[in-house]
Amino acid sequence: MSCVDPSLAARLHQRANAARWHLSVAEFAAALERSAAKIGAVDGSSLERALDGLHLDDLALACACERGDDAAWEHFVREHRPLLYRAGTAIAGEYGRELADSLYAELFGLRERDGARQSLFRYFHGRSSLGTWLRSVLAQRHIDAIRSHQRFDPLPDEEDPSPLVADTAGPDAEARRQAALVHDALGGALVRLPARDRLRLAWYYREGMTLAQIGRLCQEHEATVSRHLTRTRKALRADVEAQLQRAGLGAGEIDECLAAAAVDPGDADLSSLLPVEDVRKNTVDIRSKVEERS
Amino acid sequence: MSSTDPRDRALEAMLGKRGRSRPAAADCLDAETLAAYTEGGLSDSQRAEAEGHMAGCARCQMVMAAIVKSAGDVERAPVSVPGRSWWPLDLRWLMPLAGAAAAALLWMVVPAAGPERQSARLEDRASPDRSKRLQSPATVAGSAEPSPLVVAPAPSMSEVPRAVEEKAAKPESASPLAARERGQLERQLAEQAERKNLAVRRAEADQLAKKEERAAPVAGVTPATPPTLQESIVVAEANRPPAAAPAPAPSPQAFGTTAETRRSSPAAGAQTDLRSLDPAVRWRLAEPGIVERSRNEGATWERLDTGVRTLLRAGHCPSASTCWVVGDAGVVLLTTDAQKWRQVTPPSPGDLVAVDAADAEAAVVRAANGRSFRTTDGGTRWTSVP
Repeated sequence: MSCVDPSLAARLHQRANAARWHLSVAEFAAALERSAAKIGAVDGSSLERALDGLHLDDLALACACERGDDAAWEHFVREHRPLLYRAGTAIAGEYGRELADSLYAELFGLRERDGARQSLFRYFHGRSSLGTWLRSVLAQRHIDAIRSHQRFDPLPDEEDPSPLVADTAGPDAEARRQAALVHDALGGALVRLPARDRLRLAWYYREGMTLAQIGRLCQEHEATVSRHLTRTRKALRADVEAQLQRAGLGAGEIDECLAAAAVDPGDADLSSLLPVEDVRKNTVDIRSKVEERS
Repeated sequence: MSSTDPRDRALEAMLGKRGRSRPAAADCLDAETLAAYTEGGLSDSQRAEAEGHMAGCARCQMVMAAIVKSAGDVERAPVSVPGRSWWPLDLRWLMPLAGAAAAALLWMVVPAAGPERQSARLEDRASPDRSKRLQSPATVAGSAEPSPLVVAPAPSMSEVPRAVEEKAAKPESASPLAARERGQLERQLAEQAERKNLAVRRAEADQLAKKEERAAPVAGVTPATPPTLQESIVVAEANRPPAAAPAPAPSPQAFGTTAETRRSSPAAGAQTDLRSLDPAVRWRLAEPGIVERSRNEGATWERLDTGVRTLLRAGHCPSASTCWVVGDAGVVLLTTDAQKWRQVTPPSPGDLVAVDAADAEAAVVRAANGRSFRTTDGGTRWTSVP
């Protein structure tokens, strides 16, 4: 059953100038319905508002390209393909061209299913501009390639000795124990932060993004981002110190623990501390850990 | 933002540590959601939901960082689109290329110059006020790439050799970039000389080469080299019709003959020149399945019927009688006598867009999906090129 009113579809079809790609109103209405389903808009007013907010011209172009319309492809090749290759180079450097080639082939639809050409354009619903979507797909593929490669990297040699043996005695074992305490305390502090604060921390400290870049994403001024980061870092430190104090550590021992953690941060990956599934449930009981290890 | 306090530094060190990669979560944000987040196109609730996921997902954080960091670079990155640019150079070099193309087009359209016109041109070159007459910018015809950059007017055809000379005389040309620039200009010059077959231009090229040897004998100067596979792909892609465009119907007389000679005509339609390693012989693709060869600088053309009716896209002719041609649906054709064409076992059933051949045995072809295949036995066996 069609959820997009024909008059609304006709209006949006006209607004998107979809006729220039020989796209009928019915075809465009079908694309709008897929977009509406993706957005999750169902009722009349919210649906109209949501569809009005789509990048309709790009949606029409993508639909027409998926159908194999010559004029649409010509337009895509002229206007978007150069950007695709630029983005590939910007994201993946020397490997970027190969990445863009591969994506272009999938956009063209080299794969077939049930005898029909399957174009990647079917995953575009107009919620963003076509150019940014292409960059996003390229970025995802590039990052997946990197991460996949990293997963198969051999573990470093120093991780080879068994932790049970290493933990038993010696100054190194003590430093590792202290670093682990801080690691656990930091994990506990992080899960109590709002998602946006954690995102700012991750983007700034781990991804090396600038304040301006973070500000663009968070729709904040860079000075605001800076203030938020400072505040979050203070809150994080206070929380970690409080947890370590509650565990019975004195000021000197806290300094030692933090110094040990600075030398060997361990596997303090924010994402490893903050699994996606219900992060709030993962609060670490630092006191029990201290007792357990001592 | 970095603190000098030891405790803060310790925390920062831990926050900056990237752990070993874990597989992406099944419910990772899709590319469009990430793109919409970047553009601020999500509603408040969608935004909060996306942030809730990203806060705990290293993959999405990295993807988002890659999108944002590349935003500025996308504007500045060199265009390396197949069929759009010859190699990742600055866009300004499209203009001299376009100028050269316009000049070549002009030469093909204007009737062949007689001896008196040629001598007049030579006199013109020698004239001291030549530069004044050359000041009017050449019309850029057939520019393939709509560039957002404002660039200088393209030099006219006769300015190109002069530009080469000027470039060669500059001391900074020893840098790698300048060497590449000069190599490109040299190639334009060589192409013009080949097409026009003017002894004067060839003498200029030889003179230039000698001059460059004297001026920059050190490393970093790249001599003009034969076009690579990458460049052949560029040529093939540039001539590729829009996707799904139906191939033009061949004329009835196109199929019956194996070889005939006809005069070159400006209205002959859109032919694709093939790369030929023998400068005295020119090859080109005409109608589907038809290759043409000229042994007199394009004055007359032999019509060679390959026997296939598939759209041919590119070719490379390593000698006067040997030529490889590739096209749609995995078609690979080879002739070693410029008469009979052999359909080689294809390496891939998909469309082939480029070929680079050394002789009748060794060639590399590239498919539309980006994969390349090499043969060293005339196409009997193919190996994938990584």
